[in-house]
Amino acid sequence: MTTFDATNALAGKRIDRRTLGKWGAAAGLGIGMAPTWIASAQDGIGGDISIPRSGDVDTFDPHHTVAGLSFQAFRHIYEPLVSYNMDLEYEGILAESWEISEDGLTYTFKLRQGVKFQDGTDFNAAAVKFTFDRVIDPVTAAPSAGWVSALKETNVIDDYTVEMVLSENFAPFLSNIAVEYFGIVSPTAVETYGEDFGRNPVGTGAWQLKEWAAGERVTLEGYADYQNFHSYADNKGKPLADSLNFLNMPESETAMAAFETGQVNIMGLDPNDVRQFEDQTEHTVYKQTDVGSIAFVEFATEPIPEGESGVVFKAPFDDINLRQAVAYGINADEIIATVLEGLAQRNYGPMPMGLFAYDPAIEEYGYHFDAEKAKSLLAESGWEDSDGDGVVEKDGEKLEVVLWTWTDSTLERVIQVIQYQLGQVGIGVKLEQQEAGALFANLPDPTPYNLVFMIWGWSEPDILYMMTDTNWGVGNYRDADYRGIVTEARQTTDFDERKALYFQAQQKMLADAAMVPLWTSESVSVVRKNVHGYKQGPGGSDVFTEIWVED
Amino acid sequence: MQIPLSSDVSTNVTLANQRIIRTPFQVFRRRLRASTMTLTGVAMVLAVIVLAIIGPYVAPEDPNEMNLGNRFMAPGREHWFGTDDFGRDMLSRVLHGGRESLMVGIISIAIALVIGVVVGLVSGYFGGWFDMVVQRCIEVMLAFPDLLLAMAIVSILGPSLRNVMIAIGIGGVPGNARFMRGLVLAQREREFVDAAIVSGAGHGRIIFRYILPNSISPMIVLTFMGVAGAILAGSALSFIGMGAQPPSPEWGAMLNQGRQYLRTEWWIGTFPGIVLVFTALGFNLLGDGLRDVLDPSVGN
Repeated sequence: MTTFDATNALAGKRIDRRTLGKWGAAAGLGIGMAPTWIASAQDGIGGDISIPRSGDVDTFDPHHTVAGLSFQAFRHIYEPLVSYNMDLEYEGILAESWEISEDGLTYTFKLRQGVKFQDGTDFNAAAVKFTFDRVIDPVTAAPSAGWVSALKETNVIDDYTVEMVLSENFAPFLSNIAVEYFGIVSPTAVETYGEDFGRNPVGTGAWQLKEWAAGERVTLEGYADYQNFHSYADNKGKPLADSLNFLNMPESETAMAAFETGQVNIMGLDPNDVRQFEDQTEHTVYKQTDVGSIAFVEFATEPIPEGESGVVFKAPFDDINLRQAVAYGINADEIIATVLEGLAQRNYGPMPMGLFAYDPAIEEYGYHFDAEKAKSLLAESGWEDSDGDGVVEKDGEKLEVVLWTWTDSTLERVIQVIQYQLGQVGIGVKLEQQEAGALFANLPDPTPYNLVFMIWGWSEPDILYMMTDTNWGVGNYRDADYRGIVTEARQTTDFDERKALYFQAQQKMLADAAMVPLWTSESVSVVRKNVHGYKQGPGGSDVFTEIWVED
Repeated sequence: MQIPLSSDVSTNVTLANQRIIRTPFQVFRRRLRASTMTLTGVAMVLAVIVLAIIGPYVAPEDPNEMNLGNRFMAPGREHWFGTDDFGRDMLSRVLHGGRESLMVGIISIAIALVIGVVVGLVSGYFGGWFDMVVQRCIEVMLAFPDLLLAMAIVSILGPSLRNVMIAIGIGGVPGNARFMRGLVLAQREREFVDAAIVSGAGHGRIIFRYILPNSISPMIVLTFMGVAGAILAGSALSFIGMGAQPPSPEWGAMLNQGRQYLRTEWWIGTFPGIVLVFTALGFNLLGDGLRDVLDPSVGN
């Protein structure tokens, strides 16, 4: 069976509200402006695209990181074999076409001819084999290797045909490799630079690395011989702008000031800051559903030995009444309407709203805010407020719990409301925020905490398998029935059958109150008026190749 | 002629002496009255203390009561200081927060005073290798900026207001100990100490009965001057999230919360800022004034 390292998946794809270039891939149309580049493609086009971000790249080697901040930069340098069109159907990028064998175990890709890497190396079947062999080689220790755990081998059939053989049927395979973590790297460059490839990345993408001032900025410049195979691209060649810059600006105030002066011209916004950009004379605001994301509260759990099933919730949440009290006690609609400024949609189940397996009928099985119900569930289990301090107790012990999440200004507000709402039903909550890196390192030990506010993002319904395959919280929910359903679902290729299985899995998870699903959020970008040709691609990702910036 | 003259002089001298010699308390009061700044400081500090005591009783609302329908209300008749991003009444929060800020100032300074005085006394009195070791340790601690030292301590103990008090208190120890040691060294060589030793007094008795009472007053002044700094340090730590935890209405934490809205909802950060400045200014004026009043070397 696959061992999916979901910690890394999460770190890689977790929603960073302050950054652009989120990758999602399902429902939701990209909003595009008229392709002004055509009209003005002669002279005076160019300029610099500058984007503020909360942090820096750790490496440009796509096989050595799953950090979202790195991905957002290197996804412009490399290209995958396949990607999505605007209708979120697969389309070939470096692969011209592909075939899947009857038994679902062999994928054969016909590759594009005449494509060159940024260092002049030819793109061919050998490069594809080199890339995927490198990913699954234990020596590489690629954190993304788990996403293609079913991949057994990659074979070169001829110069432009490559065959991938899976060890078992694995429905999410194509979706998982349709992402730049599996972008094809130049074999020559990897051999030349060795360990330093992460500082000297070479792919076939629209942009190549010009300068990386660690901790400060990343500067990419257009690749002169770039060929754009995306169907939504009007510009089929080299990007129009001179450079694409990612600037480190951890403080949102700094970023906003820089946006006002024009030092940066495209920026992701916190829900909180959107109000300041309502007057759109100097800029345009774009909103986009984070199609693959789900925000939820999970409970501390004890680890389950590999291969065994079941679930052990840490006390006091080993009592389902208490878990349900949390589910009934949180008023998600109120949080969405206020601190999230309406930039999220209530989701009653764990399946992200943009994925094909999402079914609104799950609402019937979800938990609707009901403070009285929450209180009565607590009372039913013997938790009552006898000393009148607002916090319930049982056998002289107060129900005081610790909630963890990572450092983020929007989440800081969200968890304060959750603290207040749970306080209203008698659950005392202490909040603790940690840097994302530290948080994920600390989560496997359930001793110091009881609840976690978490956001997961993934482009494939297999997320329901992945989120129960980590080593904390709902990741230790190894209920035999549930695992059976989601395992069957990832081996099923039929669309409707899979969807039905995931619905069943969600019902089971909700009945057990194994986690408390809250919402699927939306993200907002703001673009200055002197930026021409900005548009969003599939799933709301930014398309930078057609932008030019007026001085 | 000579004698009456000298007698006149001596009479004059006597008169002059009568005019100048007053009890220390009278001098203190006179100087205190002469300084409007000091009096302003006293008034401000008293106001803050009164506020901290009665604030929670006069606050119109529960400071932590969220009313999400009333977010971002500008200051007005209903909410004098407006409401914050959770619809909480800012006036109630500011009033409740005073107690926390004042507590940080006083408790942390008390910790610094007690430990600093004991360490300084013992180190200065015994001298020798013991003094040597203690002083080197103090120098190491003094090499760190105060706030950095406090941050390091809080990160070890974990973020909470109680730990902030401990951290700031410990941060104040080396300075106090060093100062106290200097005072002790000056007293140790005095005749009354020799007299005590001759009369057979033990170390404890000499330290606490003779040296401490004679050297403590400058120490008290120094401490008082540190209160403003301690309050600001406590707020600074809360500002960066290491101190008071939500939903506590600590002023520094509120300032941090308001920082994000300065361009749009100015009142969320402004009111906690004003009271914080007011409090720090009050303690500073009082501290400066006390120094002028008690320091004989500063003019008359």
